[in-house]
Amino acid sequence: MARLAFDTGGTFTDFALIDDLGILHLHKVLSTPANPAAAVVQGVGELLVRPGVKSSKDNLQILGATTVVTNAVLERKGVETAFLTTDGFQDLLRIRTEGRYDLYDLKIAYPAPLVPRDCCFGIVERMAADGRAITPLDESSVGLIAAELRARGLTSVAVCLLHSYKFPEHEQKVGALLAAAGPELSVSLSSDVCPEIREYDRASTTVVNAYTRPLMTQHVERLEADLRKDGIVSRMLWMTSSGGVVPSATASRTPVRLIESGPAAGAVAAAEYARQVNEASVMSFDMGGTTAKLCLVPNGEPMIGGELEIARHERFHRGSGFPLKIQSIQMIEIGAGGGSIASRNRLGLLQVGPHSAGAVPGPACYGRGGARPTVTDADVLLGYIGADSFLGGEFQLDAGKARTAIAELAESLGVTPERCAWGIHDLVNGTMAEAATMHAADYGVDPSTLPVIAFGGAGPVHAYGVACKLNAKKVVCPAGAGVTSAVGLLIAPVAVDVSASLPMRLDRWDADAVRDVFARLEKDGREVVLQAEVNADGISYARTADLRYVGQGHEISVALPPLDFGADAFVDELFARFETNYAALFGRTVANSPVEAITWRLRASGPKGAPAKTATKTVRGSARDALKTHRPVYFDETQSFVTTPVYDYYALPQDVEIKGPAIVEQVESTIVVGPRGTAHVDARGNLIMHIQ
Amino acid sequence: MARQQIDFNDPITLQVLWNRLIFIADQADRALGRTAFSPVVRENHDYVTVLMDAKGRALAQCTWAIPVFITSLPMAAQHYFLPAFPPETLEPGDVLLTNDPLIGTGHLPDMVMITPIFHKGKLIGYSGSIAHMPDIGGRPYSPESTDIFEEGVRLPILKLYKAGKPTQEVFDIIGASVRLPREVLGDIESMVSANDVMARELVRFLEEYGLDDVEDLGTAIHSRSEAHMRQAISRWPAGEYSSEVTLDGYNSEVTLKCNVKVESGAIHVDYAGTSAQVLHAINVRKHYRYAHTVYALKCLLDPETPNNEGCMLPITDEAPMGSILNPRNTAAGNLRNLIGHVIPSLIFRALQGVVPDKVQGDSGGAPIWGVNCQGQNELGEQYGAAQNLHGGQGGRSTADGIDTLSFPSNCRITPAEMYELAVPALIECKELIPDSGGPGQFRGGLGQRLVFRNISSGQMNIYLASEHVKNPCFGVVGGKDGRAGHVLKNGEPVFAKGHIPLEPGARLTVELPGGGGWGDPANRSRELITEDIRLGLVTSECAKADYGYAAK
Repeated sequence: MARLAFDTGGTFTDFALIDDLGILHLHKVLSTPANPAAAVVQGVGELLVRPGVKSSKDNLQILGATTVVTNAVLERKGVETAFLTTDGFQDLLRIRTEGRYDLYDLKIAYPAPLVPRDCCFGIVERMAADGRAITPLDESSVGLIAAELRARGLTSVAVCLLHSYKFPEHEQKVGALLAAAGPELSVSLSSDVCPEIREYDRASTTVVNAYTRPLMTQHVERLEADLRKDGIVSRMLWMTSSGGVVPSATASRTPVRLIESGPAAGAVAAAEYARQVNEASVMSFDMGGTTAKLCLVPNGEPMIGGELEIARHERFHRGSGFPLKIQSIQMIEIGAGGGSIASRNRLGLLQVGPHSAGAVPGPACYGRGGARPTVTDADVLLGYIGADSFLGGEFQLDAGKARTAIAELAESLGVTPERCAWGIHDLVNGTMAEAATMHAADYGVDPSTLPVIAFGGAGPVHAYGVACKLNAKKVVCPAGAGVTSAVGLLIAPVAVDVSASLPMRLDRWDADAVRDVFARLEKDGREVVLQAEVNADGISYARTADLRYVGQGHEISVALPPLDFGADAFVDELFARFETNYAALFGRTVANSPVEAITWRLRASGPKGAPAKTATKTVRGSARDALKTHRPVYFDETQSFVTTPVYDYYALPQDVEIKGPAIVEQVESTIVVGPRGTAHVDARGNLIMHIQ
Repeated sequence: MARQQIDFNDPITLQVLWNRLIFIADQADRALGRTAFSPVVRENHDYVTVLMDAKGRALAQCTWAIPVFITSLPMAAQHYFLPAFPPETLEPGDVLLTNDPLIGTGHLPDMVMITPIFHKGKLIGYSGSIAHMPDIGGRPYSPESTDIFEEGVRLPILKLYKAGKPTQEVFDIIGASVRLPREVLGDIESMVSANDVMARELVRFLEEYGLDDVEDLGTAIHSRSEAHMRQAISRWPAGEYSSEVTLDGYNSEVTLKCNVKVESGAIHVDYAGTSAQVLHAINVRKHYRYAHTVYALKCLLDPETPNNEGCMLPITDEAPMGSILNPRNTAAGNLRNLIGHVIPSLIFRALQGVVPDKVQGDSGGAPIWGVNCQGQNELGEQYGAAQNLHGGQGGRSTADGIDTLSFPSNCRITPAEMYELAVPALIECKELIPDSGGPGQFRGGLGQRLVFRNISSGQMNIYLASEHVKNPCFGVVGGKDGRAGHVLKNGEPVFAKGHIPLEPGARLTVELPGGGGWGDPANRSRELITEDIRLGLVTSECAKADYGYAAK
């Protein structure tokens, strides 16, 4: 069966197809934000009729990554939503955490809650922390609210009752009552969407789900209908934030899990590239126009974590947005990309970002009216990016404008333009390296041991500098970096994450209770995976628990030993694994302290998609054949411009080593090989750089 | 990487190196918060991490910080830790600790920890952290104490670790003195880890750049920040600006007065005329006072520069000995925040004519209210947890105050679900109070109501810290007062501070004050009033009374 993946992005919708013969085909069309399905239908149609593509419409698996959910929140274009909670807590969304994300700025602001105060309703009921129903559920109060919802035309509802993370009975009953009262209602229960302790985080997650759910449902239905018109009948699969794909029904029910759909697919692709170059653990580095994303991929799998934030008032200020507690690939987003604007701050120091020139007007060198110097302008001035070869030469850059913009800033700082440009480049690399270090340290990993997988328009330009700062010895710039997320979709397994909160001390172990929890989670997980037509024998289960010392408030994730280990041996092994992870993270353990599990997690997944057969690189000869020109390029090691060879990536022969300094130009990006680097292209077309 | 001579005054180099120091403090912040045991540390973030040079001057602090801690820490280091333990008495693996209010932050629950950092055999700096312990022995966290000895165990500056070996007696004394030994000792361990992280990372940083110490880098950071602060001050008209504010106090009202003297490049704040020190535990020590003086002025003058020693140098303050802002040595001060948190509002009030667009109204989060809940369960085990609560932020020149916001401190709240796991109480409601924001062109943020019920079978003891019950938050630039706070037990008003026994089934209601408004209410836009009414933040009755608003 052929597999076709699309990734709906802000500017382009990317496609990757593995056809019936196992050959990979790539495609790109302009996105259609008003109706994202249109670009998908267009691109699918164009790709299938392309000469050489062998794929029948009636046996085609379609996979998607989408920004529909994220954009609905960022642009506040979701549906009018109601929030139902335990009576007395209707202001939960407005009260937030009461902390401030910036200590000295008296003018801070937060995004207005997605549900305004007059759409928040209290249900008469109350569960205590131990599951006692202190106030039984007043069913008539639910009936009154349902009538009110109908009267006001509110059709999407988020329900979050106190302590429902562990005691969901009241919440489930409310769900049933609402369903009976109004079949038109779309109801999101917090105990389904996000069964995690801490009411504000859980409510916030559930509200985002409810706010976007009708849109996602409509998008899925529309796309499937439009494809059907073209004769394509496919059960679609959608990429979640945690790097697995789920069937349309699941995607429509819990769209909040698709918030990081595209970036997650990119991280999955990075893991595949790591496998191709025989590296177990890597740091993926995706740098685009406005942001960069870093992702630790240890032992071939991106790290999954449970904390995200969306719609920040100040995009790169942690704590200024809506918290989301969903399983997602752990990535760090840095507010610096090719379009980031460099300026002189109030202390007279160079600053890069957080403002971006975006695509319009863009960097000064785009010649579209941008006058402020950006990272891309610095990269042009330094000779890293060639003015004549940007986007394969289709887009002429104005190096003069880049220089003028930088020179003006340099003058205000009292330095030369070259020094200023290098400063911009270096400062951005420093920011990336610090974020990577922090991210790796979060998981107890030394970043200098990790090869850097660089993609995105600016990733390969900066990868050498970032790697040097990290003390990393190897950089990989993969082939097909322009459509990375679509490639990732083709590899991603069908996977669903389910969890349950059941606090249990390891010294008061209840093996039966744990078995029961996992029996339930397996049933739930299996159901979803089977819907995606995965063979029942092909399902695998990964079990983890969030553990902590009794009394702590934050947990660390620990993989569970096999359940049939025998109770005592199981607990001993689990304790040992916890202490090992804890020591790796925090440098010490806490003596004589009991340990407890809080949340139990299961990931049910099908087999991974088979990677495409890529054509073996057939270019032979010497590097000289790929030499396009020479140009002066600035390097920190020499503190000066050096005449540097510029190579055509596509003409580089396989396995022939080139020595830095060198520049290698691709269509979508440019690879900088510094004086301490040597590079070659492998059989799959990946460029591999070693740094001394 | 081998480096040529580093020019610390280069605008690019300095930015890169400085970023790294902040990053190191943030790494330590993460380590502390993730491993802490008590809700007050791990949920409320009542702690900081600060990196200091060899003279104890602040270089960088964690991004999510609390004003009082970040200033108190270097002051404690310079004036007390370094004289008590000069470099020749320290070796790698030593960790110094105290909770003496006179040295640290003005009350005993705050543990102040400093770890010397060695590089190439030389002491080149200190990593420091402060965290608020969930208990410190003595009278439970309450404003009722009448001298420092009632307030708990006091540790002079001592070596908690000597060359990496724990001083077991100290741990034992702490363990024996506090009600929640597991949480307290666990939190102290988290502080040790955080300091270790900073020490390790700073050394790594020095090696990477081939530096022997942080002296030149520190000088560059300090001099640039100081010059910038002086420049900002010079843009203000020279002169003296004064204000006063009346607070509820414990059992008699307290007046705070300030005179802000702006000169060329320097500001001196004199608190002469402020009330005398009082018997109960709301006296504010020097470090705590100064921290809030500096904080308020930095918000107005230079909110952007990452805080460090240089930002503080142009600012000085004083208060008469024996006043509530400079009490004598044995004065009680456990709840010094009830008075000290109002200092920024007092300074804003004094400067409302100088920088009207920068100041904000008095805030209902100043001070933090604390509901400290203590008792024993059926097994006789001690339980306890303190919840922080905040009223509304004062109105600003650009927008209404934010509802329920921590200011000037920066504590998050403990989620109700977490709090109810720690103590057998039920939070019956936690909701905004309509009409509580002080009217203004931009009104104050709303206060909140919390109802708290004892669902255990035994007596529960609440120790309450509150303010602005008799005297509401004031407005600025023509803005009006917010709604005052209220405290009720089973529906009846009770004394709003200190011990309130809560029998099984009894209810405590606390209503936090709304923030003061900014600007004349007559200038408030009709759209904002209509929106407030629609959202139920202001009733139509109050819209009419306060703004002369009539529905069309």
